Formats: sequence, C-alpha cells, structure tokens
Amino acid sequence: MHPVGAASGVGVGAAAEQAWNAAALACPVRAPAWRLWVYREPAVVLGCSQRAQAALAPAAGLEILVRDSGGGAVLVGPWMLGLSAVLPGAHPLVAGGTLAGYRWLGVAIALALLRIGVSAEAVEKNRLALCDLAVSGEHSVAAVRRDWACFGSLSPWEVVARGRKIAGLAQRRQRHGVLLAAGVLLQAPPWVLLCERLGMARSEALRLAQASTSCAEELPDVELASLSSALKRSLHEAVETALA
Amino acid sequence: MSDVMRDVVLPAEAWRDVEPGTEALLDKWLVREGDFVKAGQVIGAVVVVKARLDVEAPLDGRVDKLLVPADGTFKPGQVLVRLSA
Repeated sequence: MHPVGAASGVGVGAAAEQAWNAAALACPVRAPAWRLWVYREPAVVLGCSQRAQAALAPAAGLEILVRDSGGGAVLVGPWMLGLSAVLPGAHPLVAGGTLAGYRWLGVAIALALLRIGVSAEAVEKNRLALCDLAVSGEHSVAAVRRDWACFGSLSPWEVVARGRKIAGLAQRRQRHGVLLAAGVLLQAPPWVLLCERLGMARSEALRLAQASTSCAEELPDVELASLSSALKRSLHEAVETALA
Repeated sequence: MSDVMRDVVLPAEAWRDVEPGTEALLDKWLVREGDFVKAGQVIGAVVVVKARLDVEAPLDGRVDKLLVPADGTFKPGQVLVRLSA
C-alpha cells in the first residue's frame, strides 16, 4: 500500500479547503493524505476560538471563514500556498502528541523551502522566546501575546527565515484522526486588508510585515511550481521514513 | 446508593512537551449541567497550542458540574467537568 492516500493534489479556494478538511475527518482516517491549496481570491480564515469576531465584522468585505483548528486569523490569497494533511491518530508522525504533530510538518516545510533556496528552519519550543523578541523588536510580555493574527506570533515548530515567520501551522485532533494545516507565504500579503476587515489598528499591519517574511522577499523568482514540488517531495519522504 | 463521581481532565498526551506554564482554552461546551451523556460522546472542545481537541465523556452519566467555563483557560491536570454515574 502506498503510504500517501489517493486524495492528494492541489485545490482552489478557502471554502473548498475548509470543506476538504471537514470531510477528511468525517470518518476514520486509514492512511495519510494531503492537499495543497491556492487562493485566487483573498479571504480571512479565523481560528475556531475567534468565531465571535466573524459575527462582529461588517457584512460587506472580504469573505470570513472559521476553521476547525486553533490559532490566529490568516489572510489567504494569491500570496499564500496552503497545505492540509490528515493522518490516522496512531500514525508515528502524530501519535507522540500535539507538538509531535507540529514537529514533522514544520521540519518538512523547512526542508522544502531549503530545497528551493530559502534559508528556513522550524523553530523548537525552547527557542521561541528568543525568536519572538527578534521578530517583534520588543522586550515585553505583550510582544509575545499579540496573537490575534497567525503571522504575528510564533508557536512551536512553525517555520522562520531570518527570524521572521514564513509558515504557520494549526491542528485538529479527534477520534477519526489528526488534521494539520499550514500556510506558506509566497509573497508579502497586504496586511492592511486583514486589519481593516477585523477592525484592528493599521499599525498592526506594519507589525505583521515586520514579524513575517515570504519566499519572494527571501529569494527573487521563486516559482509556485518549484515550492509545490519540493513540498510534495518532503511530505512523501517524511511519511515513508516514519513507516520505515 | 450514592452516585459515582468522575472528574474529566485533558489527557496528558495533549500536554506532552508543551512549555511549562502554558495554559489551554476551553473553546466550547456541547452539553449543559444536568444533561445525560454516553461514554465516548464529545461533550466539548479545547485548544492547546493552536490544536483543537475534543473532550469526550469517559462513561455514561450526568453532567454534574462544568468546572471551566467556555472561553476560560485551564492548566494541565485541572478538572474540566465532573460527571456522576
């Protein structure tokens, strides 16, 4: 049996992504499967515990969706490559607990970025405080707690380049399996769109720009196809190595 | 005969390797005090380090007390809900 399920490929759009994620966990996961996501239209994807913000936002404007995993708001659009991966709960890549689930995916994404020339690394938990200070430039507790936006803070095994976040992770664990979701920045997002949609101060857009980076900012002429291929290779290798 | 009480905590696996001092969020309760639940029923959801996990009833019984409110935070080992069977 091939270790990666048949439901692998590239999908389009935030709504389709959330629907795929829900369907993937609607019944027991028998084998790892994953899908990459591209977004032709911008949209805001809130973490599950931010659902109240969706009700508070004005009706008109960018589409707002709520995902079934935690974390801060994500501004998806043509500047991002998304990734969904589902695994059985007993799979060696995720059976070690919540952080173990993040570790393999963060490392796989960092390896893919390295393969296309972006100097990236997945950040271990014991280095988080240092990195948070580095990206925020502030030495205060508040600097590491402003996590309303995914790319405004760092969590264990998320991916950075030059100390700035380039890929964010989130997770959903339930009896049918484990879903891991990731977003890799291809280009610098228009952060002001996110701030305006959620009623945040425009100064937050500058902070998000300073805390994050993208493939295009790290390496000119990065192609989506190159990153997609590198990600597929890294995912296959991670799954096959775990089962070896 | 008195009821058997059962305290429900988030399994230790969810906290494995998590930085000491980290707290989790009680995202949502799907039951109310007084409700009857079945073993394995999903009765709530929590968020730990951006991961959403279900809280399942370990036995058939009645929800005696929700000890962490929705949107409240809790620490490893803290009792989330007390069931009586």
